Amino acid sequence: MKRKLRFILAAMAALALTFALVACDGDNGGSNGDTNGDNGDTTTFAIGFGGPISQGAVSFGQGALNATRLAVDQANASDEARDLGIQFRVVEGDDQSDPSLAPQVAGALISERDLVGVVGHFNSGVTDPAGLVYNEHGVVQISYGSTRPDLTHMGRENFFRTCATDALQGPTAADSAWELGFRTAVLIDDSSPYGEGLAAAFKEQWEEIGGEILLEERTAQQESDFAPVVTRVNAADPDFVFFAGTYDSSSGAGALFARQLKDGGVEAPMMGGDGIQVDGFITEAGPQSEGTIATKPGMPIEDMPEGAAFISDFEAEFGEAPGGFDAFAFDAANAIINAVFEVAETDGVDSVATPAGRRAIIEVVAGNEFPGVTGPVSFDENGDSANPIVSTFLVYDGEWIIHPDVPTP
Amino acid sequence: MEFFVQLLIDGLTLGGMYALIALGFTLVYGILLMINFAHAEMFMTGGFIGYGVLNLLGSESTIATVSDTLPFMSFLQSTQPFFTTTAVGFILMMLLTFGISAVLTGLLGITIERFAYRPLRNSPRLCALISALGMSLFLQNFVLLAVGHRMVFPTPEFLANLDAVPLFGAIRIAPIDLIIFITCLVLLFTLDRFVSKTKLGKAMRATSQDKDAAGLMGININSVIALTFFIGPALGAVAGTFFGLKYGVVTFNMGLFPGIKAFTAAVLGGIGNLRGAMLGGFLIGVLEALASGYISIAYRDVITFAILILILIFRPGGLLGESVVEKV
Amino acid sequence: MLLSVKDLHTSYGKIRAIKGISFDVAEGEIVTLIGANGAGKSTTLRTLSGLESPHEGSITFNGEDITGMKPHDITKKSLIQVPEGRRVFPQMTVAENLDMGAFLRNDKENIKEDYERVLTFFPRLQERKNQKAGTLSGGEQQMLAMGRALMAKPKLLTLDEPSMGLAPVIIEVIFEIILKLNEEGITILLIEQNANLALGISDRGYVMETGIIKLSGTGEELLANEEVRKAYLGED
Repeated sequence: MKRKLRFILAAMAALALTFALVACDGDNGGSNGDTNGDNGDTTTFAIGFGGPISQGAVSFGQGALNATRLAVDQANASDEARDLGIQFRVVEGDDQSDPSLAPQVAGALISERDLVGVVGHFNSGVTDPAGLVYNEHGVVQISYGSTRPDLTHMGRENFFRTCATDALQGPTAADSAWELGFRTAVLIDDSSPYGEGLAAAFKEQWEEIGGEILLEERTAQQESDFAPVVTRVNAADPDFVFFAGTYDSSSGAGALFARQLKDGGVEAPMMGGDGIQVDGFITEAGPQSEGTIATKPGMPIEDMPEGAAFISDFEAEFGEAPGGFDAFAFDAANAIINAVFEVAETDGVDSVATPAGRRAIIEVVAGNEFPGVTGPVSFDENGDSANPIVSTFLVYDGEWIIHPDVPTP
Repeated sequence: MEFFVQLLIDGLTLGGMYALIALGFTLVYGILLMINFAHAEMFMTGGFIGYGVLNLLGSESTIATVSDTLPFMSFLQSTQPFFTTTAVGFILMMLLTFGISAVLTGLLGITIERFAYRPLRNSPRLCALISALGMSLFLQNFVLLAVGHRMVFPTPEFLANLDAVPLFGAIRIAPIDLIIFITCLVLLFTLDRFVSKTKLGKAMRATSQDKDAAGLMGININSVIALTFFIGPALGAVAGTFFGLKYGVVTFNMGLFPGIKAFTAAVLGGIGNLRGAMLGGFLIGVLEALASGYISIAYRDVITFAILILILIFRPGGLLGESVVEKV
Repeated sequence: MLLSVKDLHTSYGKIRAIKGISFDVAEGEIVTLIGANGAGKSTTLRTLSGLESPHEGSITFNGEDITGMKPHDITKKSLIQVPEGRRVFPQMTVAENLDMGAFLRNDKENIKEDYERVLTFFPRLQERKNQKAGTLSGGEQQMLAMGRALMAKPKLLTLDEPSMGLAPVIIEVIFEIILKLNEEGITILLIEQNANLALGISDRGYVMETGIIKLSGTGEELLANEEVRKAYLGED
């Protein structure tokens, strides 16, 4: 009797689960259904966003998603949108910084029939496999934060990025360090594709200009204890420690490392790339983050002509200042939006979401130039930003500021 | 020489935490012959509770928020400066943080045993194992949803102002490391005494060696098992709170790696053997430190686990694992 | 009656090990259960001690219904078992094993006294006080198991196959001690395959066969019984 009861309960639970799953699916189906709208006058297009939203490097994902939304909202309110009868919507792809999720997330975005382009992804290791999917379907992909150099050298004509690469960032970091009077370095990367790329680019330039590397180490991203590495750094006694890795909100190696360096009595400052130039790094490393130096592609947006408006609009809509790579995401979204407007104007609204239309979008993006918030937005023949600038920052009084002793180019 | 000693200190501090967690694995295995996969989550939960208590006692903003909803908690506002700035207050705050975290996590351990393991005690061992895995996933996701995936652990002002303790030469120990090391030693020593000398401790040993016979002695087996599921998680919680204090952050999945290392330590020492777990914990910590100091942190786990495999080839029962007496 | 068992049934899963047995033990008696392997003797003792729970029947001990109680609660009532295969705690010393026997007692003074008394009963244990129990010989382990049970101050002492696997000389010592304990006022319920020896010292006995009680009588009656002689004493 008891056994029977249990069986019935289990069966009911299984049924409930099935319904729940079906219901979830139904939700998606619902939003798909009305994408093209009942209103015959407007056509809605989807702009995909791919990045870490719930887990992973969320400091680089959530804000960028908001920036994409901001770009879409502004486009929807524009005269061009009204004249052409076009509206955009953002479709989120949460990759959790996990390369193994990339094909799945990309596949979900591709399944949106009105998809016209993808902003993303952030982590180089995710951008690569997700890009395969977009490439196969001929959809334009513009990464806002993947700085690994070889991404634009894979023969994918649909791939672009608005940020500068580590090929530029690494050498700039080396030059800045030299400028600051450092001569000996300890070089550590976090075993991520990004970290390795940045470390290699840094090392090449650093040795070129005569800098010395006392010790090279490699850690894992999931590491939390660096005490033995700190002991080795102490023994090597360098002028500074170059950490090529991320402050990643799910592993946080960068912040943990900075903290333990200071706790372990290392006086030499830590320096890193854009992977640590984010507020989360300062929060987690605490007072021990003071004096950390980092390079980051682009100029401080507040110094750019379009920057002030972007910052105030962003704050007004989301209640916080943009950070990380948000401005690059904003420019990436606008590159797609502008291309859609142009293709719609020449070939007609109906052709935009067709294979031919998508091909046209890619061509327009490749040739376009417009003033973005990070500077003029245009791409070279590989798809890299034609306007690469790298600035050097410093943690001062608990905030990232432009490093006063390094001139911005 | 200094380099070596410094590495040794690094390793012993980390090893102390491994040992605390390893004890929980070994205690439960000793009594139920079961690998409690959810134990790593006790470490994590303990860290999060420690995070909560420390904020409640020491963070002005947390106290303000809490007092808004629960006015009777507002007395914490007046005690906050005492806790954060004075030495006595700091020690008291640490005791409260660790105490509350240990007790609550211990109670959680008892609850888990009561509802997730006891009903399966007479089922095939695989069932309890799967239940433990489920518990582990449940706890991780519960914390993820209820609290968050990553919390910045507050550093008490008093602790932040302490200077590193110089030993000799250039060797220095961070105050937190010293606190961790000493606390681990005290806890391990106390547990060892408790188990070998007190009546209750002997009852635990008797139960682990022969449950039926222990019952015939008048020992309440269920109470002893519950006690085991209190002590293990409580020690794990202490380690989890230390993790937060040392690294400045607690995450919902922070149990994974220390959990694996601690389990390895328990196996290395001889699973079921308390002193073995302690030895194994320190050994793994030191091995890791030496491997990353002299070779590379990238090869740390490779080296550590290679040594582990070697040891297990020659001593399958672990370092202190005694020859297993077959039950008739 | 000190112990009174009425219509007791116990099963392991679907196997019915005892199928309705009834017997009594009076204060001061030595009572033996004999029977072949698998007759249900050990199950009977395990059920008495609460290690198995019966699904039918009742056990009354010292005027109290103890049916279905947990082992530790039954031990509290001073019904103490020396289990089959001794079941000493192998990783604990002899002294610690004896301590465990006194787990429920708090009268430190008397415990000390009993401890000394047990060691005079079993001088061999005195010599090996600090040795791990797992390293003792079979006979010594049996002595330890009995000593441990005595530390609990039994009213009724049940012994499951105390002679199993022991040399004849040791068996004799064990049985002498059983008799001595009985003289000191401890009631004994004994399970034995060595029927001759066991019935020889018993006041009464029961013969079990496949879960039921086949025969009962005084020790002498059973020893004289034709069937018993054939089945258990190996005589034609």
